[in-house]
Amino acid sequence: MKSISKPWSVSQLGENPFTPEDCLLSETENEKLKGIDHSLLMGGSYRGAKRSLIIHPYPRNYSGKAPSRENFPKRPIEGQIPETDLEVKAQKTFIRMKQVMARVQELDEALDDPINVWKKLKLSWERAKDDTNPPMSEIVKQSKDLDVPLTVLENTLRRVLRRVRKMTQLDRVQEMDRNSMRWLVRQPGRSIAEQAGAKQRVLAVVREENFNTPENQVLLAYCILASAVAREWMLENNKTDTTKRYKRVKKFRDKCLNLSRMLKEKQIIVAPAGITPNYVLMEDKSYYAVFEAWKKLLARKKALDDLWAWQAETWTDFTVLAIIIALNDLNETELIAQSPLIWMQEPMVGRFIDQDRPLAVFWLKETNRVVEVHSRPKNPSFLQQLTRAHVSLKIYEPDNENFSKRIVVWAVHSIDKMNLKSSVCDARNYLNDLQRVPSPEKIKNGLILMPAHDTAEDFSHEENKIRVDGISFGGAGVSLNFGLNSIAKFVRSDIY
Amino acid sequence: MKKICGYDLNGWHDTAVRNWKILPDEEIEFGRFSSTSGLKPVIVKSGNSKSLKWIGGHQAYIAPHGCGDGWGEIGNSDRRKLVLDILENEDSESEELLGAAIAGLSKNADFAVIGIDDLPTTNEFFQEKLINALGKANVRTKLLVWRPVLAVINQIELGLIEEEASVGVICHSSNGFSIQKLLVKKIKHKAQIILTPERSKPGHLIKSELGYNGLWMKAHNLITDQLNDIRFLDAGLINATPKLAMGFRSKTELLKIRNGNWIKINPPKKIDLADTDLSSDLFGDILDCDYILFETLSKGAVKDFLHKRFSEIIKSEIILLEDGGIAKGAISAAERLSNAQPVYLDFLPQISTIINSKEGAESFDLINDAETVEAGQLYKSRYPATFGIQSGQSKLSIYIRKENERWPRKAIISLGSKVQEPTPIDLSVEQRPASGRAKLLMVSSGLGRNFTIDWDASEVIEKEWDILVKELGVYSTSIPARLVLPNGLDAWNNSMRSNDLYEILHKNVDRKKPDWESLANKLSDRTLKQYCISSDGAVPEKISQSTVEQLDYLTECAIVELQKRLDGEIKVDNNNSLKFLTWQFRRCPQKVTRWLLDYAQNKNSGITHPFAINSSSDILVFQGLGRVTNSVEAEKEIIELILEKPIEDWKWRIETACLSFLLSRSETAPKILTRGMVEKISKRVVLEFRNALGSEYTTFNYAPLLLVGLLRWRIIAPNALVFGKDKIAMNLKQCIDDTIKDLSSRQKSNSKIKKAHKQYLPILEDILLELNGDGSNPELLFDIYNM
Repeated sequence: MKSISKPWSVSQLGENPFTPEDCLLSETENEKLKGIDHSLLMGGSYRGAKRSLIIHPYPRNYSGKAPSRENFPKRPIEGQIPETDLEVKAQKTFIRMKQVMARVQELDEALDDPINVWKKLKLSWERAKDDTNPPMSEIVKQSKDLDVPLTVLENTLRRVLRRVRKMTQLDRVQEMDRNSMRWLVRQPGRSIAEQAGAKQRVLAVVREENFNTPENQVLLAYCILASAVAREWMLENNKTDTTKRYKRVKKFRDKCLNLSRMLKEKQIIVAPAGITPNYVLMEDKSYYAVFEAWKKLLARKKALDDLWAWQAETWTDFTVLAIIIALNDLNETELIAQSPLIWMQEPMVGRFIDQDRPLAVFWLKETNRVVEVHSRPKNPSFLQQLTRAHVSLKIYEPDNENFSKRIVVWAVHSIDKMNLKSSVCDARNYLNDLQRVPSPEKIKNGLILMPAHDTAEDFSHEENKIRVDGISFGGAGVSLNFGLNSIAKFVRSDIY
Repeated sequence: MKKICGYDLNGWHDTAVRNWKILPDEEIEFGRFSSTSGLKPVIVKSGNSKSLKWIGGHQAYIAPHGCGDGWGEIGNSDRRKLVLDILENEDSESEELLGAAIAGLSKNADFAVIGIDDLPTTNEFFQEKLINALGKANVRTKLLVWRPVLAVINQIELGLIEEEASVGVICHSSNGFSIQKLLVKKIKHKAQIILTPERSKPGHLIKSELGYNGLWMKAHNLITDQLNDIRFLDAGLINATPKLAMGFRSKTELLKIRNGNWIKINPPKKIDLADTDLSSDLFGDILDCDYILFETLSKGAVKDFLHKRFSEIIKSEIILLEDGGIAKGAISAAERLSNAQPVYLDFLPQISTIINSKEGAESFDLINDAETVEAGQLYKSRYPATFGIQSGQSKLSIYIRKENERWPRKAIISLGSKVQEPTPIDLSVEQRPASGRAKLLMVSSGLGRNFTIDWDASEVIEKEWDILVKELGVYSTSIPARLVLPNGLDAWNNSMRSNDLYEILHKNVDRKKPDWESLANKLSDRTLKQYCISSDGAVPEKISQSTVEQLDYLTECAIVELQKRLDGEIKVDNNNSLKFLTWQFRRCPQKVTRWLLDYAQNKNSGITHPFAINSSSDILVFQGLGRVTNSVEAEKEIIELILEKPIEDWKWRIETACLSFLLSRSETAPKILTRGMVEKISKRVVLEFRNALGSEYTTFNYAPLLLVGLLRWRIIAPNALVFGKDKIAMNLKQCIDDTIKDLSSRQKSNSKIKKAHKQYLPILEDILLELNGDGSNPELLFDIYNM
């Protein structure tokens, strides 16, 4: 396994560990990867030998083994105030990650209208250009989805009738058990009336309403957890307190607090985390919704850990979506094919969408070009494998069999800031070196898309007709705006 | 607010209209929003082998999946399926696929209505499949509505149709045009008048080349001609083909060819339309309607051509439904559904069964004719069909016919255990219009159990219903069950009168002269209504093999002894060994039947038979014949022999007993009888009944047994000897009535009569029921024997 710092790195890391400056990529040839933490970016083969480009996750705790990773920041805990430099770095990375994640998550809503999915996604992203819009998150979703079930449950809380022993008026006695019979025979008197004493009461079994059922315990546990998570989200986004989203989360939190108060008054206890769901929790629609939402909130720390580790994968999806939005936005384009986007309810290794290749095909009518967007290709050409770029644009000219070009896109992610200019130059030099490789295909254009740390920027370098463009941008605000404009500029430029 | 959606899933241009849309800030906007899946919609299989998923709607329409080798692995044709093919496919897998097609248009609706073709192809199975598929798209409350009905609802909502109007609807369909006539009725709902279409008969198809399939073929041929020089491109995969077929504007299209490159094609602008197969006679059903609606998914030149053509044929104004009119009608219907307003009224396809009445079998309709039901409402048969379960019955056969199924079916209901007494059971139908299969429920308060008839699991009877009813008509009269006198271990054990049979057999097996008397007495001894050997000749199962061997050995000894007696080698002054043999019933070697028959035939010849010892020898021989005879030939000889003798000369313990034993215990003996024989025997029965009148009923034992045995003639002559239809039965009934009267009037005269009255009355009443053909006591013969 060859570990490399950046896709365009000429040299390998060798025995050196990965550091926050690196993109955590490795190339493998016919090797078994058992025990190595990785996700496949690009498979393929060359002359019968299996070759693949893999990416490793950021370590969950400063450093990691297999492969060796050192000096990484730890994922910050939500609401934590950073103190050390590393913590500040982690905090910033975390914010960037959440913004990118929110953009990708907006695709879920956009998919509701499959005909206008890219238009809708663009609208959502345009809203995100504005910093005053708080980001999407699980609690925001739940504030919308759980509103109705909670209202329903508030009014129709399930209760059971429990048998308890109580002193009961003689004429009200309906049931007696062993204990109450035993009590009765111990009472002095010759008849029951005498035994019942002056108050004419005997110990008997009565049925009393009881709310302390497993489903209500889960409801209470959910209300407490949801209000705490909502509070965290509100603290993070307190600048956006005038937005609809913020107001809705606040209203939801208040509702959860009120409901938890009411439930506590009914002597309901909090359910333990690993509770086995009963019939009501599985079959009653509202309780089931609460149970599922509770599980999601409980698992959110684990989910966040995963997303932190695999944020480079989320970044790839984000950049691909950005390219598609930019292409779709051109006046001359027509989307002629697109693989179905399957939204995954639970993200897998940082990926929210599952899709086949090519992801999208655009026809640029005036330019007379067809652009295919490929991401994580299954059977890349040998040259594409050598470029180590798992995203690419394939360009054709209709009715001209001799014209086909590929622009490789390096969607790179690292914890530390990468120098855009030097990266662009290095990547160009790398592409230049690849020109010597005998191949039916020539790759002369590249695009680097990397996260912007402070300010978004772009840079382009062309030499010997080999050109690489670089854009650094972010998932929200000005940075996102800049990124989308730069990508649009790139696709409009004379790259074809 | 409720999320409401209307679907038009037709496989040519699927559309959904819904009332909500999710905005970028996740707010929900309410209004009217339409989504379509494109022309000739498909579903595609996305993902790798680990996570395959079928996707429908617009995402599938623009997916490259299954579009040919140029796309690499995903271009494989098994990744693409036409919605039209799934709609026509009858396997259950298509439910999942239909769900994908529906979800691709819209999902998560609270209320949804989906349009279905008003054609025989929309069978109950398909309806169920579609309802389940809606479930896969997370639709909560769903309703299937016929497309013509949706067209009319659309027009009602637009205010274009008035109350009590008749509306003819022509729906463009795959193979031509479906025709339906609907009536718009006024229904009062919560102080509001709702105009509701009523469907009172199934729609029918007028086949035409102008159907979508015909148009498609024309377009397909045109495009194929154009693609002639480009290999491996299928006209079916090109968007322009359905556009051309359905009159949509087609434009330059890019196609990916096998090597991955792209080519441009400029499809033809239109297809040639010529109508050769439509004429006004075909539309006779709707010509008198107040309004005529025409619904088509086509556009442009195709739509204009069809409109013009129908205007010429029908010669009155044709209202052309707007684009997406069915989906719009569907959302209006869904709105009605969400407000619990009536959507439409529908008739239910008739379901009939066969019941037995006095007149024989007849067809019984479980659904009232001319009755329509509100959509979504459960229809329950007003008058269920009632069947009688006889006591001892553990299964029930029911014949069912459905109007829209070719052949009737026979369902067998297992009642679980034998029913103790005659119990009525009701069959009724529960069905919602256009909601899949009807539920066929059998309810019996007497049994305390309900049964459901499974139509699919029932046996198909490939006979026309009327013929089946006629055939079954002849089996309507009850037939008394054959008498089998049971065996039992109690009879083998000790009794008051004798030792146990094991011991007797054991003692006698080694003797040179076995004690035939004790053996015969033990076998003829009846303990707790059980004999040692059953009347069918069976030994109780628990009897050991060695004991059976002892019995067999002694039987052989008895045969040897009788043979010697017949040969004149020995003389014995009793018939105990013969008695021992005859009380083995049909287990007795058939040689004995022959000997007994010889005796009976030569009784009056003057020759002294070795078995003729005293007056009771005749009784033993004739009753013995009744017990042991096991072959049709022998039975025939016996019956003929007895009937040769005038009935007046019969003796109750000889001829009457022998005949009654044969007719009641044998499966074959009643089949030997002819009408003449039956008449003769019935006269003897009447005579014995008459003779008993005024007596103490001491010689009456075999007359009722003979009468009921005689009724078993119905095995070959169904409906015979039924009171009201048969003269013999009337005579028999008369003498039973007389006997009942006689017993009732004299019951207080002495204890014997009182006992006879108590014994015979219930029996005689049961016999009367049998004579009426309504016999309900399957153990009648056993009960008579027990007296």
